[in-house]
Amino acid sequence: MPALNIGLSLFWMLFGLALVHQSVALGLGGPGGPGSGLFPLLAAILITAGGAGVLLRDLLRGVPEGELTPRFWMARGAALRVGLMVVVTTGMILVVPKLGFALSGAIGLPLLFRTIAPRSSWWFALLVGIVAAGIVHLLFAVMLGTPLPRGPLGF
Amino acid sequence: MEGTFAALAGGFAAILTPGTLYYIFVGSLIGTLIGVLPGIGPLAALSLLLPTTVALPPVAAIAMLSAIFYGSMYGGSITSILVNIPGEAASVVTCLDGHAMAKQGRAGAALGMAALGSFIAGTFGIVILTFFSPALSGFAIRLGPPEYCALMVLGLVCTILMIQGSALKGMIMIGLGTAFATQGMDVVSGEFRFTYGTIELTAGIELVAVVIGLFGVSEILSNVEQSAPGMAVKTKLRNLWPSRADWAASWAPILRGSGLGFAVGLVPGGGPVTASFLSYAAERRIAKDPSSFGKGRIEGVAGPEAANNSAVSSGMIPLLSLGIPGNAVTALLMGALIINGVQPGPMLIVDNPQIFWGVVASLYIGNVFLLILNLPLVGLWVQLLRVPYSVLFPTIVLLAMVGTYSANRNIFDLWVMLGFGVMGWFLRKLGYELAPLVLAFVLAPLLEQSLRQSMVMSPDGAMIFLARPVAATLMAVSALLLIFVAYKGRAATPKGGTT
Repeated sequence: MPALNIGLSLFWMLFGLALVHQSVALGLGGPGGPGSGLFPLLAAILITAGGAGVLLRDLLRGVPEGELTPRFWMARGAALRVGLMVVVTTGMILVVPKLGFALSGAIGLPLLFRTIAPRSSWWFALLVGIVAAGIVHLLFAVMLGTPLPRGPLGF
Repeated sequence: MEGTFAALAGGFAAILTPGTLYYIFVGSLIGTLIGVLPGIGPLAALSLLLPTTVALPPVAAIAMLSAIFYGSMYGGSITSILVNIPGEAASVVTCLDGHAMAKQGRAGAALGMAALGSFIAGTFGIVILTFFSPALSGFAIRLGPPEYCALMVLGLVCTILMIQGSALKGMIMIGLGTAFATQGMDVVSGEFRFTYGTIELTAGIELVAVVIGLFGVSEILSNVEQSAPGMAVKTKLRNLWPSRADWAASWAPILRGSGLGFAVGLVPGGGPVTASFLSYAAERRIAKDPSSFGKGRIEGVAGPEAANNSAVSSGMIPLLSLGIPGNAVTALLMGALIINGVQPGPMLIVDNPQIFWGVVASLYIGNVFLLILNLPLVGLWVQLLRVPYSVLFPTIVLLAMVGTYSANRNIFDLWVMLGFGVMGWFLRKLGYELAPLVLAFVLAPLLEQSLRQSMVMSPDGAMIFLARPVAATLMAVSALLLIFVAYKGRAATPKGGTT
C-alpha cells in the first residue's frame, strides 16, 4: 500500500503539471481581465503541490499510521465481487437506452444480488430484481413523472 | 413590530385554507421522500415539479416548492444515518457521526436529534427572516465580489480543517474538485476547457452524478468487498428518542449551527451544503476530544443538521427581499414566482404583501408538518435497516442510476457516476477524503466568478483583497487557519512510518 500511495502521489504531480500546461495554453489573462486558464491553474498548483508534499512526506518521514487501509483487498473474493459489481453496472448503463431502466434493472439487479449473496437461489434473486426495479419505476416514472428511457415492453 | 405581526397574521390568513395546506403537506412529504432517496436531490425534484406549479396560485406554488426544499434537508439525514449514503449533498457530513451512531445501535437518537435540530434551526431561521430580514439582507448586499471570494476561500480552508487525515491529501482533493468544476464552456470567454472534443463535456460535469458516484457507488463497492455482508444495522424502536444526555450534548451545537447556518445561507453562494460542512468543522474544532468525531458523536449530527435547515430559511431572504437567488434551488423558486407573474425583489413586500407574508407563514407551517411527518415516521425509516444489504445495495445502484439520469436526462451522466464511484472507492483506500472534492466542485464556479469580478474591478490586481477591510479580514483568517493546519500537520506526522 505505501508503494501505491507513492505511485499515486507521482501521478498527481504529473497530472497537475499537465493541467498547468493546459491552463497556460488557455490563457491566464490580459488587460481585459483574467483569462480562462487562471482558475484551472490555481487548481493545478494545488494538485501538483499536494502530490509533491505527500511524496516528500512519504519518502522522508513515512506514511502516518492508520492513513492507508491495511491491505488493498479487504477480504477473500473481494476483487471478484467489486469487479462483477462494476461490470454489471456498466452493462446496465450500456443497455438502458435500448431496454429502459425497468427492464435493465430487472435483468441487472438479480446479477448484483447474486454477486453479494451467492448462496441465494436464482429464483429469489429474480424476484428481488423484478420487485425492486418495479418499485423504482413506480417511484420515478409514475409518482414523480420523470421521463425515463422506455424499453421494448413500453416501460 | 406590531406591523410585522399584523402582516404575518395576514400571511397566515392567506395560507390557512385546505388547498394551500394540502400543497404544503404534499411538498413536505415529497421533500422528505426526495431527501431519503439517494440519487435525487432537491434541485432535480424542484426542476421536475416546477411545471406542475404553473396552474397553482403563487403562494401555494412557492409554499409547495419551498417545502420540498427544506423537506429534503430533513429527509437527507435519514439515509445518511441509516445506510451511510447522503440523500442529498447537505447531508454528507451527517454520514460521519450519524452512521457511526447507527452502527452503535443509536440510529433512533441520531434520527430524532436530526429532526428536532432541523425543526428548531428552521424555525429560528424563519423567525429572524420575519423580523430582521431588511437589516440582514442590507448587510448581505453590501458585500462585493472580493468579499464573496474571500468568504468562499475561508469555506475551503475550513474544509481542510475538517479533514481527519492528511491535509495535503485534502488539498489535492480540493484541487481536483476545482479542476473538474472548470470543465466545459467558460461562460465568460465562451472557450471550452478540458473537453477534449467531447460534446457531452461542453456543459460540464453534473453535480448529482459526482455526488452519487463518490458517496453512493463507492460506498457500495467498499461494502461488497466484505465476504459476507450481513443484515444492515438493527435498531430497537425504544431507542428512537434522544436521551437527556443527548440533549445536553446537542443544545449548544444546535444553537451554533442555527446561527452559523443562518449567516452562511444569507450570503449568495453559501447554502445548506457549506453551512453543514462549516458547522461540523466548528463542532470538531471546539470539542475537547476532536478525534472522537466520526465515531458517533451526536454533536456531529445536531450541529450540521441545524445549520443546513437554518441556511435554507435564511437563503429565502435575498430571494424574497432583494430578488437575488443565492443558490440554484432559490433560483428555481424565483423562476416559479416569475412563471406565476410575480416579480421577486424589494417591491414584492409592497406590491404583493399577501404573497410575501404568505410564503413566510408557509415556512412556519411546513416546518411543523415536517416535524410531525418525521418524528412518527422515524420508526418506519428505521425499518429500512432490516432490509438485507444484498437487497438494499442493488436497489440503491438502480436508484442512483435513475436519480442521476433524472437530473439532466443524460446517459453520459451515468458513466460519470460510475467513474467517480470507482475513483472514490480507490481513493478512500489510500486515505483520501472525498467531501473536500465535492465542496470544491460546488464552490469553484462561484469562486471563479467572484475572483474574476474582483480582478476586473481592481486596478491593482489581487491587491483588492487587502484593500477592502472585510475581504482582508477573511483572507487573514484563512491564512492563519492554513498556518495552523500546517503547524498541526507537521507536529502530528510521526517519524518512521510505514514506508
